[in-house]
Amino acid sequence: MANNGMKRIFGFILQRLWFPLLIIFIWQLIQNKLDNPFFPPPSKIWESVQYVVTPEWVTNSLTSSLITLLGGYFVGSVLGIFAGAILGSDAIARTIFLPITNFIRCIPSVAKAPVILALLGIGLTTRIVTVAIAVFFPVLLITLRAIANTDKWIVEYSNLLGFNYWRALLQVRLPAATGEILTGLQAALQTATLVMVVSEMIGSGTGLGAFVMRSQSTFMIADMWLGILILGVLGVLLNGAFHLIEKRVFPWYFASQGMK
Amino acid sequence: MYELRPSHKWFAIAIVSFFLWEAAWVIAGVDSFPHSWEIARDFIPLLFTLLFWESVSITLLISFWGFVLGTLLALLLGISIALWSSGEKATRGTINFFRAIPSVVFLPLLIASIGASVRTSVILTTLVVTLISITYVIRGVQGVDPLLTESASYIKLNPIDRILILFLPSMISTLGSGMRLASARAIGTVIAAGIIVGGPGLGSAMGAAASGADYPRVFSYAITMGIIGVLNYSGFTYLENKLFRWRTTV
Amino acid sequence: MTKIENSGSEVNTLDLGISFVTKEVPREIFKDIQVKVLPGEFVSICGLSGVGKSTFIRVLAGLIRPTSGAVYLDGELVTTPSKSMSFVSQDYSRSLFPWLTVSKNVALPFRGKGIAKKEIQIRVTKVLAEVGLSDFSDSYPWQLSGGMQQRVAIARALVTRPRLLLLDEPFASVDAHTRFELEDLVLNLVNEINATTIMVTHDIDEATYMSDRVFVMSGLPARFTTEIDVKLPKPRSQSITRSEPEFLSIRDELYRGMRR
Repeated sequence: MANNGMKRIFGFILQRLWFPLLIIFIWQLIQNKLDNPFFPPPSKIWESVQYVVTPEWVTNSLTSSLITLLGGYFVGSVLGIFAGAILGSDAIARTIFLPITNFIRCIPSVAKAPVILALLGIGLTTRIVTVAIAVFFPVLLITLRAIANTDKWIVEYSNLLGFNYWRALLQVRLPAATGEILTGLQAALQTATLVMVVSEMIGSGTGLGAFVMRSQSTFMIADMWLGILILGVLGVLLNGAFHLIEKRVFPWYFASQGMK
Repeated sequence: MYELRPSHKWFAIAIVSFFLWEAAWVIAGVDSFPHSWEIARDFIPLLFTLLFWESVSITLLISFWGFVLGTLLALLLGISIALWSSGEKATRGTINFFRAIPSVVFLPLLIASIGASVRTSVILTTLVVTLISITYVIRGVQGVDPLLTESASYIKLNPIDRILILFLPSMISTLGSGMRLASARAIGTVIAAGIIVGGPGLGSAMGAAASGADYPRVFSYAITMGIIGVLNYSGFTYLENKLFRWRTTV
Repeated sequence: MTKIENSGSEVNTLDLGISFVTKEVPREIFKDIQVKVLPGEFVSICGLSGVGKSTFIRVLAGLIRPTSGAVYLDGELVTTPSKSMSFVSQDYSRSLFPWLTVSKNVALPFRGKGIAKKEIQIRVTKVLAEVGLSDFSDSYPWQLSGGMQQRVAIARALVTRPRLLLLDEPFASVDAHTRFELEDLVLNLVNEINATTIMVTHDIDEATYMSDRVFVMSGLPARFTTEIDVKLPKPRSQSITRSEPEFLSIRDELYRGMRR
């Protein structure tokens, strides 16, 4: 019984991993022929791991990036959901704020970084604020739309039950919008990563983004690739963590999706 | 419920924006934060300069080429992957991995190897669009409604007709829904290239203004980017509604 | 004696069986089914949900290969959907091509079969008139109501003047009044072209009303447990036929048969 299960898990992982592993393998093999300085072989990148990933580096670059990313993400999303819920539930506020928010959301997130950097100067706070703002607007927009489009029947029903404004908002309308809000939050995670990297690339000396820039300017290309790959792994891990958490916190939503 | 009339609506929006901006000015409390009229005073004359329109057009041009090339590449790769039976599973991890990486980190690499030019921006933009669109293409190929496939079976459509009537419209529809995002990201990438490494376009213009501490100018460019973004968004929404009116919300 | 322009197929099944393998455990849906349907007959198959009726009719259609036994159409083995067979499925909204107009949808069965465009046009116009949708030939499915969409599906099925018509719960998703209209529509049309018709339905009234013979499918694995000859006068009429005492006793027998 256990044997069967093990076999299936193994097969499952192999099915998804063989492709990237093959690529890495081929890359390693042909690097002798290519000898391109900008695409170092995996072995060299592995070497970089050994001397780059010191505890000091981890606290400096990795932790700094994570704090910027997660701090900004949480602040931005919480405020975004809050503002979106309030603005979305009132028809007039909605008509006024929807175009404004949409407009600001349409400004590429990367452009917000230099703007805020210019205003607030270099520093961790600036970067966190940048990420927060970049996350705030899309989340606000999605929440606003989701709340505005709440199924009419649900709203009528909550009125029937005599819910006051806040109760209706918190216990009825927001949960009804869970699906869209979660989608928005997931997309915002990617935006947050992007803006974090950008703000580090243009602003500061710490963080993964700065590390990548530095490695490139000092021609430590293998280090640069290491930074890129770490960012990729970080992105995948965060995404995975997001999925796990959302299923834990909102099991009822996913169960109802399954029934559809 | 009091409904705002369109003319009232835009007036209200203007007023609210003004107050919001000035409130932000108060909160920020920094010298560098410009007043809304300072921005207006900078922005309007800016619209009449040649330099401005040059930046705008080159940004749009690069975005356009990146978008077109990226979509074509995504179609090519995406269809091959989707048709290869174990392909989707095999490549899913790799594609997701590279999508998770903010495209901008490849900029230093590209600059180092090719140098900062129009071509670099186009390459990076193509890469971004490809990564985004490929997921949509694959989904489009695999996401054909099985009931529709069954219809094709009992109507006895031949293989070529299946591709033309069943498969292609379904895929184009899915791809179309992703195009709005892909085009927005394309524009964003060009601008990012400009900001970070000084590639051509609005990005570097804004970066230059920022380092020159010309804050009203920085915000003028921000507004420009917003307008471009909104136009892109509404343009694609309009196209989608026209072409895909038959789409039912699932 | 008038020459009958078209005549129905004779359908024969021999030891027909289907079993699916899920999670390495074989599940027999039905087995050893022996049925003979005569040319021009209207046969209904009733049964509770999930017993396997839809699977059965898809095996008859050649959409699914049986795991044991065979289906014969006019003496020939059925391996793929036959040229003289047409199928109407339950979910009409998803069986029509949403990006094609009504007339293009109805014309689809002729595509690539080497028939002149003009001829196709004539036949499409004729069948649309027969189902009462002449005014909607250039509309799209999404613009039509549920009943109208099902009429398009019926038109598409009948435009080729099939010798065998298979229907999988065709009126289950349609409101009661429209259902009566469609029942009569189908009866009239198949009588005109003298096609053999096999219909799957859970509605025993409908089965009694429309058929010459009714089978009840039940059990696990499913078998045909009841077979009733419906000797009600023709042509059938919604108000008269349904109040015949014979009607009531037949449906009662069916009802008891389903519950066994």
